[in-house]
Amino acid sequence: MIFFAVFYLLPVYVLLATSFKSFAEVSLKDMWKLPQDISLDSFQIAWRGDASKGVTGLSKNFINSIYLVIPATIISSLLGSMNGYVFSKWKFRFSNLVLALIIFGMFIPYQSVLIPIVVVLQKIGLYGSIPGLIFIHCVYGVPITTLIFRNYYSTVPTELLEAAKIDGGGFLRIYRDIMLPISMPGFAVVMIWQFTSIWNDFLFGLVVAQKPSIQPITVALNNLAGSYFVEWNIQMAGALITALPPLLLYIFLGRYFMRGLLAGSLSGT
Amino acid sequence: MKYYKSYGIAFLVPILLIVGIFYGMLIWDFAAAFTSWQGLQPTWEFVGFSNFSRLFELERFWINVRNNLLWLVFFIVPTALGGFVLAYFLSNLGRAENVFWKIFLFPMALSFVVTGTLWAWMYDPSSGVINTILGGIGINTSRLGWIADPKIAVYCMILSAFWQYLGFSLVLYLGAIKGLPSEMIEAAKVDGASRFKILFRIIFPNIAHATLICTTMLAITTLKVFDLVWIMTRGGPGVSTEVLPYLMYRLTFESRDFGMGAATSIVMLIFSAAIVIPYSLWMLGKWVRA
Repeated sequence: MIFFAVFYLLPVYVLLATSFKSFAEVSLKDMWKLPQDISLDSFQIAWRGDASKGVTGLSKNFINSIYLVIPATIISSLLGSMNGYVFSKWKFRFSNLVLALIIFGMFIPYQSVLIPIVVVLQKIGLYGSIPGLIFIHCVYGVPITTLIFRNYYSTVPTELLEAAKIDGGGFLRIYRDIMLPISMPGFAVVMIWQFTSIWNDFLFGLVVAQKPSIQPITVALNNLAGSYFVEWNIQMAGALITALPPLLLYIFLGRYFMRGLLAGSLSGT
Repeated sequence: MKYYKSYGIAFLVPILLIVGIFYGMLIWDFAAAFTSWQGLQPTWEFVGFSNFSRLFELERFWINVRNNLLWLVFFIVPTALGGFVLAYFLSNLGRAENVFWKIFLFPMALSFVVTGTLWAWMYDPSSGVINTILGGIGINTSRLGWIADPKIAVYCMILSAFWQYLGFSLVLYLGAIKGLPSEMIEAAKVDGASRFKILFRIIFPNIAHATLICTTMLAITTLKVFDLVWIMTRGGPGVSTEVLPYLMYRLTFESRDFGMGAATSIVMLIFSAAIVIPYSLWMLGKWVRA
């Protein structure tokens, strides 16, 4: 088991060891050695860019990703919570039909709506902008956040709501005073999940953000790695920068991450 | 009651809009597959099935379909089976389990772009990690091109996806195994069943739902795999590692042949509907009963 785990971590070791080396040190026979002295040069170039080498830094794109991920995560989580509340506690006539449509929509490959998305965004003037990306990620994210919250709220005893209703609590008050305060674990799961998947998205960023100045970091990393003359240590440093935010979340909140991951597929159980 | 209902509907306006937009776009895409739309603006000139027949005449299309099928088999089976076996061992480990699942699951937090960049370098024929190790132990690596070799490139790429997704099937199975009543296994032990028998006759059949979920989720992943192909090989060498999502992108956004692109996405949609519809109905059935 331990052997297997070590094998599993090998790529990470290589990633770390390489990115902390200066270029002169990246040579074949020394691959395994730890860097002689820790050099942050690769990170500096990957982050700020280096005009003489034609490398564009990732810093701008990192900021773009932040501008994109935070609003999209918050909006889609809040909407998911509101929808989940209705679907779990106030069933209406076609609620199961709508639910079925949502579940099915969650699994549809992006590509089937990619062309219309471009046209729609062009029509409403959001094509090629970060708000456009936020919009798409909300459209794509709300189904899953709704489902996770629906299941989360299903565990809240209905008697509690009945009692609140008898006491004269309205629809909004029940939501605000009863549901929201107990929603924090649900929000943790949903927000970590949304943050990770939006941060890691590549296809939407590639299609919608054609201009380099608004590209999210995954697209920029691809550009960095795609040019042949960029040295491996810089590519690896770029990869590490890109991976860092979701990895930090994972390291500190791994349990919630796992639940989010499972909730996406295990929502039924 | 009426009061609650009208508020409920108001709360649902966003999701109803989204569902509407979403399915509207799907229908639009479907319609576009039957038009001769090329270039930037849609031209609603219907041409029947000609986009599809042009698509089916492409040799490239069939290479793509074959690659998607290779992914389906060589990604799903090892990932699900490997996850199951690892989960079984981990479930007997006690407290160390917590450390191990974290190690195996962490690649799921990475973007395919990161995984692709990292593995593209490991596979690099001249300066990559793998050939360096092999060269170090005296193996002639001059003929090992990995992702540069059209014969094995697809499998190499599948291996890196396996690396990323193994943790997913592991935690899925781990949860299922730990959910089994311990009396079940104790009883079998008392009856003198071997460990092997317990594993395959008792544990495996009783967590069939985990297998269903796992294989379905992995199947959906393979059908839309795009990022990894883009980063690692751009479909090459030649078109040897191209898959349908990749073809769809190129036809649409590079060749500007929107009609053909839409037709490709409809083919993908049919593939995924075959997988997703039964699964969604099963899930919905469970919910409605619950």
